[in-house]
Amino acid sequence: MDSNTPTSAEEMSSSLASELEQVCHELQLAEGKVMQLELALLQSRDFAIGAAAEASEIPIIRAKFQNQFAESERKLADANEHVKSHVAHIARLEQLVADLLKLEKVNKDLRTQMNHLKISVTWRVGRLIMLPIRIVKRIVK
Amino acid sequence: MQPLFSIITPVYNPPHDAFEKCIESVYAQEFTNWQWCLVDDKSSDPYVVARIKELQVLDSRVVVYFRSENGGIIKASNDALSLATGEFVVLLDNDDELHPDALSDVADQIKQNPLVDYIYTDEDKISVSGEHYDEFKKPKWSPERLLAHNYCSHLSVIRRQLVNAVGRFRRGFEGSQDYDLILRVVEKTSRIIHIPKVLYHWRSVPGSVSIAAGEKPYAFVSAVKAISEYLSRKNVDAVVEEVAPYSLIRVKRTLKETPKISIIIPTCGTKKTIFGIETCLVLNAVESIERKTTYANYEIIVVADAKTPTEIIADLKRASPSHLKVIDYKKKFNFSDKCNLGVVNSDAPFFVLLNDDTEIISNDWLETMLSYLQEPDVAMVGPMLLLEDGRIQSAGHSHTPHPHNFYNGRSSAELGELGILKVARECTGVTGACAMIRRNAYFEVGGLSNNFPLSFNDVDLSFKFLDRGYRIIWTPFARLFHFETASRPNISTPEEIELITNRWGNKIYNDDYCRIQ
Repeated sequence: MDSNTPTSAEEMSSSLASELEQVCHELQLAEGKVMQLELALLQSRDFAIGAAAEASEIPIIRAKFQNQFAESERKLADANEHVKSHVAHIARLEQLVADLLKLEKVNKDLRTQMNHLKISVTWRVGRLIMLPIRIVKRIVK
Repeated sequence: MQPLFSIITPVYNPPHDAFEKCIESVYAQEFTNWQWCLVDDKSSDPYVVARIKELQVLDSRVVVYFRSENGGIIKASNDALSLATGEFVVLLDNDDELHPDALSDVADQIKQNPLVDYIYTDEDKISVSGEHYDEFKKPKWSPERLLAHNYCSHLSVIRRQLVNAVGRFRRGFEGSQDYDLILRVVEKTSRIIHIPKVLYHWRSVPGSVSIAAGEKPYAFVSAVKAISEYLSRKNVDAVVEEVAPYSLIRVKRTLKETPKISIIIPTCGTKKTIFGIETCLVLNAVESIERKTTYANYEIIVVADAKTPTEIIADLKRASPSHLKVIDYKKKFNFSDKCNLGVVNSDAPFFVLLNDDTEIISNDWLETMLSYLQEPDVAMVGPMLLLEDGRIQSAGHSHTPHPHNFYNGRSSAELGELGILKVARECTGVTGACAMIRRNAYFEVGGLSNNFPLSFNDVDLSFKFLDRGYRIIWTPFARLFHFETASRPNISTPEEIELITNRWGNKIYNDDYCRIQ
């Protein structure tokens, strides 16, 4: 029997043990790498799904804004219509005020004419002629 | 082309006023392309018989059949179905009322979705004095909830061909014959639409199921039978139990397998006072898992910040020597990233995201949550979370009117609107404080987004699942304490708010599963 055999068996065993250790270490590293990749995979999928979700929200947001815009347009048109009718109303009021002022002037003119009439000689003579009749009327009453 | 609706009404001695209101409501329909299939089940009241005859003479749309003997609601309903020639059948009880828009709104939906097979609407009740109450704002199509009670009920409009194909109403399901029919219909189609508007008024008269389920115990027995048969047809091995005393149902699915479950707990080793004692949160959580959990095949992955004290890690290892794995987190705090790191360190097909400020209450919490995940389209399941004082911390998420924990701060003894707190149901999301998740689905949607380091990460994840067609289930049958924000403050950054709005802005304020506030 070869005297070296036990030694070489020991060597072989030690070499296998160190190889095993090496493999275990590499396996651990690989497992760590797999986990890193799995984490990266999770993040990429989340990013993709999140981006898709955001993208699918955009048409809804756009539609919402479009609706809001249409609603604002409608409100603006209503407001313009309202302003128009207000302006027309104000114009009518101004016209009425002008008409009133005119009538007031006519009224004032008529009053002046009446005052002039009341202080005229004809009016005084007429009142003097009518005096007895007024007295009789009062007595009768 | 307008559909023809066949209104199916079995009649048996209804109160005169209620019957007249029912007739009025049919004639008040805006939509006029209907036929009314009235079957008198040998009423002894001459007024009722005379009134039906009168309707038959006055209107050719009214089709009538007088049974020669009283045969019960199922026979009478099936006779009414035999008279029907419309494309859709509309189920109307002889003492209830339709909203004037009922048929026109349903017709609009059919116009928009011509292939639809089944439409159900919201409903309310009318008291004897005519007052409307108990408006039931139903969720959108919610198959898990349908196993707890017949939430679809009224108004139900079903394609006639389908009703005939499934064998119409069945004897032996008296009191829940419509529930049994709906279960058989939804088994054959996924083209189901919910109209979120009250289009049916259910009259509460003594003896009516609308007053209290307890008024008709036979109806509950029939309901249990209908569900058991439904599950059996679908090859689902489950126990059907009553959620006493509410006459609600719990379907307890048997676990086919016991796969490994990873419980992922991000932590930095915070200590807080709980139940009057200063407690290390993560240690308390892990100890409660070890103490309570009956499910054997699990591991605990603690993702610990670099600042976590080493003695806490040592305590954890002592508390859970055979289940624990500790992962160091060396980056700047990001809740999502921490959870994702935990997930990639797990090889289990299902995992639980669990906050460190939690404590297990139900021993079978893992079995219960896992049972729902046996359905392949369920991605996430959340339990009932309670605050330290026993009030509700979260009964799932609700987005009405904005994202929040449903029933937060309310008593856990409450029944909730129409039993919502006592039944398992689909929801828009569950809190990331405790959620069991299917690993494949998690990877499919990219897990928790690192763009949400503090808040909304669970809301975002839920939306991603829903967007991919998955269901999310909330169950009251698994309970935990959640000492909310004990480990970190509940704050969100402006960037998170902007991002969640950009991603899900249209959906975030519009919760079709939970329309009550």
